[in-house]
Formats: sequence, C-alpha cells, structure tokens
Amino acid sequence: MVGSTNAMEPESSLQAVSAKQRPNAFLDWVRWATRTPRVIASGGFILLLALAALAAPLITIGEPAQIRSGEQHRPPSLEFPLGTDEFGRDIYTRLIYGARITLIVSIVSVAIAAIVGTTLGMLSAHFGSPVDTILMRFADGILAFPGILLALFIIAFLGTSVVNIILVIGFLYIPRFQRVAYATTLSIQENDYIEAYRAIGARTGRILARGVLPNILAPIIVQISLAMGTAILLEAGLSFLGLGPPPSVPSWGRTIQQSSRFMNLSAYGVIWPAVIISATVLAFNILGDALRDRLDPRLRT
Amino acid sequence: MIAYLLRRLVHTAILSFIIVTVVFMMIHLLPGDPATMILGGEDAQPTQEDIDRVKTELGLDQPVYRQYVTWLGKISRLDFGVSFRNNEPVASTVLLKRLPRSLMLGIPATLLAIAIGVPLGILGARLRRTMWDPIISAVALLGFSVPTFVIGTLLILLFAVRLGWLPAGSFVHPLDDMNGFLKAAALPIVSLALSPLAVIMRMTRSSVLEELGSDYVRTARAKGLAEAPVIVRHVMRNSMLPVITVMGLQFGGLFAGSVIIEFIFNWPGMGRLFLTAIGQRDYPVIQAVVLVVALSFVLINLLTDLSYAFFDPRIRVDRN
Repeated sequence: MVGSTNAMEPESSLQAVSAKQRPNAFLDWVRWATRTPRVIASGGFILLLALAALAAPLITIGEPAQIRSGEQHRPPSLEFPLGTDEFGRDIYTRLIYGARITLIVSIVSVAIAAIVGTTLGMLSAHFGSPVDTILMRFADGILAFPGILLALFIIAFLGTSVVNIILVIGFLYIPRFQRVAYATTLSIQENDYIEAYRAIGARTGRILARGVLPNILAPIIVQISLAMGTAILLEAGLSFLGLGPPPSVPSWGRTIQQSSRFMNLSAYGVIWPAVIISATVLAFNILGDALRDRLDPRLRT
Repeated sequence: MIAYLLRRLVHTAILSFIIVTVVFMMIHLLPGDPATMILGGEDAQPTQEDIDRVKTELGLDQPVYRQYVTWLGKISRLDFGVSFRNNEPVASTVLLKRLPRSLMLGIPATLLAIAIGVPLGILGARLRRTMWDPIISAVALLGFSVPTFVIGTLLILLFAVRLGWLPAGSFVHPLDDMNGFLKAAALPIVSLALSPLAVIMRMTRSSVLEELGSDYVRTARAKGLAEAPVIVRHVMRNSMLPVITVMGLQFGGLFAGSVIIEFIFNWPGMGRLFLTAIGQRDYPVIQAVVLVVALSFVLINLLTDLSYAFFDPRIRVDRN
C-alpha cells in the first residue's frame, strides 16, 4: 500500500472533491444495478449460472455422463437434487455442465458478432456510399431470413461441431450490431467534437475508436444482452434438432429432445432443462430491457 | 402509387434473381461431388464409369455458365429436378404435397397470433399504470423467452401424455377428416403461435401507447367521442404500421418455427422434409425448399411494403 506522505495528500483531497462534484460513472452503475429489482433478479441469476458453470466439477455429483443402472427416472431427492434421467444420470449435474456449453457458445458468438458488426457499421457510416450501400444491403439480406433456417443450412454443409456453431451464430448476428452501430454513428458524426477530431487531423481509426465508439456503446451493450438471449435460443434449437454440439456434450436442447421420448415414464428429464433454458433466456431479455430503459430511453417499448 | 408499385416490383424481381443465383452457386461451392452423392456417397464406392454417366445425365459435365442457363430455364418452368433418394420430381413433392401441409399450421397460427396479440396489446396500452400492466408485459416477455420446442414438448406432456386429450404427433388431412385434423393440429398451431403472439402484442402495446399521447387523440376525446371509436377509428389505423412490419417478419419466422414444430409433432410438412433432406444431403430437395422459403420471404416483404402504402398515404407520394 502507498504510505501517507505529505506529497500525496493534496492530490487525494483534490480527487475527493472532484468525485463529489462529478459522481463516478462506475459507482453510479453499481448503485443503479443494486437498486433495480429486475436487474438484481436477472443479473443475479446470470452471475450464479456463470459461477456454477465455472465451478461445475466442484459442485456436481460425479461425471455428467455417468450411467447408474437401477437408478433410472428417480424423482428429486437429497442424493439427486433434480432427479435422474432415463439412463440414471444425475439431471442437476448434466444441466450445470450444459450451462458451460450454452454460455461458451453464446458468449463467443455474440462477441464475434458485436466486434465485427460494430466495426462494419461504424465504417459504413463513416465512409458513406458505396461501401455503405454494399455492406448495409448485405446486412438487410441476412436479417430478412429466419436465423434458424440459415443456421440449419450452413451447419448442414459445414458439419456439426462447437466451433462451427459459434461461427454460424456469430455470422448470423453481425447485421444486428452493424445496423445499430450504423444508425448511431450516423447521428453522432454530426456533433462538433467529431468535427474537432477531424480538425486536428486525426486518422479514421482514431476518430472511430476514441470519438465515436464510446458514444455508441450504450445501444451496443443493450443489443449484446438481447442477442445473448436469442443466441441461447438458437443454440438450444439446433441441439434439439440434433445439429448442435456433439452427443458427448450434455447441451440443454439435446437433453430435452432425448428425455422427451420417456415423458410417459418420468417428466423430470424434460421439465428441468425446459425451466433452465427459459429462465436463462428470460434473464437476458429482462436485463436487456432494463439496460435499454436506462441507457437509451428513446428505444423504450 | 403506380410508380411506387412499379419500383417495389423491380426491387423484388432483382432480389429474386439474386436469390436464385445464390442458390445455384451453393451447390457448386459445397464440399463433395453431387454425382458421388447420388450414387450413395463415398462409402458405396461408385465406379468412375457410373460417376461419369450420372454427370452426363445431370449435365454436370457442362461448363458452369451453361449449367446456370439450363438451371434458370428449368426453374422458370418450376422444374426442380428429381430427389436423389427416391427419384420423385421435387417440384410436385415440395409445392403440392409438403408446402400446403406446412401452411395448414402456419396460416392458422398467424391468424391466432394476430387475433389475440393485437387486442391484448391495445388492452396493455389502455391499462398502463395499473396493476395489470406489469403482469401483461411479463407474460409477453415470457412468451418470447420460452423456446418453441419447449412449448411444444410441454404441451405434449400435458395434453397428450398426462391428460390424453389430444394426439401427440399424427397427421390427418382436413379433407379426409376435419375433426381429426383439428385435434391433430391444435397443439402444433398453439405452440407455433405463442412466440409471434408475444412479439405482436408487445409491438402493438408500445405503438398504441405512442399514438395515445398525440394531439389528434385529445381532439377526438375533446369533441366527445367515446373511447372505443377513438381507439378503433383513429389510434388503430395510425399505430398499425410497425405492427404490420412485425407481422410480416413473424410470418417469415414461422417457417423457422415449423421446422422445429413439425419435427416434434411428426407433421410431414416442408420443415420436416427440409430436415430429412439435410440429413440425407438430398440437394435438389434442399435447393427447392430454400428457394420456396426465400421467394415467399421476398413476396411477404413486398406485401408488407404495399400495405404500408395502403395504411399511410404519405408513403405513396413521398418516396419516389
């Protein structure tokens, strides 16, 4: 730790004053998040799920694929918190391991889409036509199609693997970010401070990264939260159809499809994954709505 | 209006042409040789003679540009070739047999979503700042957060497995047995309608809310008009534009839903044909389905745009 020297004191007191006058934006955020019930509920759930996925081996019962003969279709008990499935595998363990694949696929694919889409959107807004026209037509083209049809189609030819699914979802979601970045950059560019960047001879990269990006981040963040929700839906849909991650991975969608064949014997294998998929997508949607209400009141629905 | 119509038609024609070209190119960019695929794939170890014979039959030995021209000619005559698997003509299978079966679910689902979603959305807007508002909003949010396949599976669990009221997965043609069809189609239609219903409802609510605050509504109320005609005659007409956009998108999205719903409910429509064809790499069938879906998308977009002009006279004049 830094010792209290005389030289440090004026500076720290100065910081204290300025912090009082201009409240710390980060602290503001923390205060908002901890005082908004729907953020506490949705953010808390997502955080808990992420922690559980990280700590999966520590908090689960054996391996997710561990088959127990004679223990099939057990109802929830102390031994198996959510019961067992048609092979006597612990449903709770499989769901926690399933959360890993769901979160990895959705986080990485949305990150790819956000980075590529935002860059493309800013570039097309900055340079104007004809780059503008070509890139935005391309975005319109992809957006016009239902996601799962294109995904099915591409996956059918690329083959199923975790990497391919991440690439496909990432690719499909580029236009969403492209459009948001495009529209916001267009309006931001009219501001004087962007003109000031130009006046001091800043290059395109600097104008976009330092001048434009910080000011379009709000709608991008909202879009990230909403895209996470639909990315999870898409991944679950693909694995439900057997076109998701390989069978060795206990992905939520595949779990439902497989257990649904035994619904007449026991419904737990279907109900728990149904609950957790819906809750996770709902959490991201609620968080996205809350963020939008705070960051971008104009987009309020 | 005529100029607007013509401009939209030209756009649509160009877009359709691009789609047709992309679908043609797809088959040439695919890994694997179609001729080998027809003969059962690499595992069947077809002889070079057989491969050459199939190539000649399908015209695959021709230069690509000539194949492209042939392909354009063929599809303009609605000739999509024959299925690799059963040698049946693809056009009649897809267009006459499978597409109608998908529409049997898709059209009622859309109508259901609109018939319930729009009134609920208006109700949500009218009940703003009452205890019902957050409840209605929460239900809508839940409606598009729960995946279609979860809704379908849970409906089967409740109504077919537990209660035994409705069949879990069977297909009955309405012309053979209307009663049986209604029973078989009830669960798939409801599962298919739920998510578009939620989206339409949310859109209607926010759009109506926006209009309710405008001057003409105050004027209408001030002149003593009852609330019902204010909503129906003034607000509805003005707030339907964004709702129509969403309806158009949702109807397109129904195909996506129908792939999953037809898979769950064993419904032999176009969605399930598409899944099977992908599994078997039956390229002519895949091509045909993609073409049909893509072109119906274009058509729906066109209709959506034209309905804008119908609802909003400004569009007819402004954009030229």
